Amino acid sequence: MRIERHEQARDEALVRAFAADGDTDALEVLLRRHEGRVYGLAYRLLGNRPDALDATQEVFILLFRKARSFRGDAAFTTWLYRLTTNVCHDALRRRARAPQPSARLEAEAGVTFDEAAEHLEVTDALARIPIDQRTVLVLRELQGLSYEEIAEAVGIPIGTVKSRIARGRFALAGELGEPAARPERLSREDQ
Amino acid sequence: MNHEDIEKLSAFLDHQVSDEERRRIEGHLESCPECAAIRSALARAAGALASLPQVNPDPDEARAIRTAILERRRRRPVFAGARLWALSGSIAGLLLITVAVAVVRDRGVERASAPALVGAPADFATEEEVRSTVLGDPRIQDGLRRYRLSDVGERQAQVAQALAPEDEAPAAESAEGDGQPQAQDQTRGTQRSLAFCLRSVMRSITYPVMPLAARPATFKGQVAWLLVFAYTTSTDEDAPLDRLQIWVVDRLECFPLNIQSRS
Repeated sequence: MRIERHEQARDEALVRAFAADGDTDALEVLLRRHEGRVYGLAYRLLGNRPDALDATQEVFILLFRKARSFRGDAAFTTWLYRLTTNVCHDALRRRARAPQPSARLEAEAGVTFDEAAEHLEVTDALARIPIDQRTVLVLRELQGLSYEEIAEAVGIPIGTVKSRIARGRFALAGELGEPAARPERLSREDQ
Repeated sequence: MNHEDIEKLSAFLDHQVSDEERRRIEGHLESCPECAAIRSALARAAGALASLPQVNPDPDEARAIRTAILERRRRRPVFAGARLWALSGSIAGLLLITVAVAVVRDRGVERASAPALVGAPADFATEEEVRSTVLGDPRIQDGLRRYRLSDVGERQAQVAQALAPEDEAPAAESAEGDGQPQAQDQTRGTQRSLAFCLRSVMRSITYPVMPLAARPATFKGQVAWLLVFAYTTSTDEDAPLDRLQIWVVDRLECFPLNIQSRS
């Protein structure tokens, strides 16, 4: 069965198999491997499901269109995160205002109401910090990337990664009501 | 007292500081409530994020993703932007070849005219011209690295299935209108179909061969098919098809007109 055979294949080979030959089994395996991380990142950056869905579609369409320009010098997932980040940043620029998270709690299996409410609070707080900081934070805390991987995925120096993570955490802490995270503390350092 | 800067404290949380710095910071935190409070605020933010669930597409969204991708591909048949006329894995690609050779108009494919090897003459006077044209086409080079021995069976079955299996040439073929002199055809009047020629050539080759490309041509004035195959001499299923066979066969009996050339 072709799906089993594809499951061992490298991502780049699956991309080519679909892009050049229309192999839908290869597409299915690729999507099962990666649609979660693309959608998950987009959801956290854009704040709601419909926008995350649009972004995910755009990312994969771009991926196949650019199949030839991927030279394999970075990890495939890094490249995927790069595409996702760019697509989401473009979407936010077009939106030109703060993301509007859905007002309803996301239906999450196996979670208490209290936990779900806390998730909503954190999601709201995340939506209020600057997109540059939000991006590195999500890649670090949710996707589990190292500083180097984040630097490659976003296309910034490691020093900038460290700085944005620190400021992002500080800002998020402030949005979550942490008294120690006073903005003046940060601006005192910047002087 | 000098406080730790926030970036240091954040890096400290991620174990991104040297051992010496780590010891120094730990010492400082023990005696500085302000920095300790900041460290704990940063940790809380990091932890709050990490506790967020992974959000995946729901079944409807997953369906929508696939539909969007397939729909986009349907509208633009060749994704990567290159106009591959070589026999592709899809039936649509195979039909493209049949359309081209039979000059049936407007099957809804993007190119109305017969696809061709880029810059290649339709008339070949020498074998060297044939070889250099084929070997010089980047799409042939592409096809050369793409397939493995295990792919051949499937492709041969596709070819057999998708191309018309008639042994007599359909009427459309003789109305090819490519303006070529039909020297021998006048006596016989029928030409063999591409399917017939592919099958008869593949049967005569010892190795399993992968059809890569086909086009109508003339060779030293005779109407012919130019056929390009990929193959390997290895028996390993995973072996890449890294060699070419280039055949020019006449369209009446699929008789080779050249000494078939290997690469």
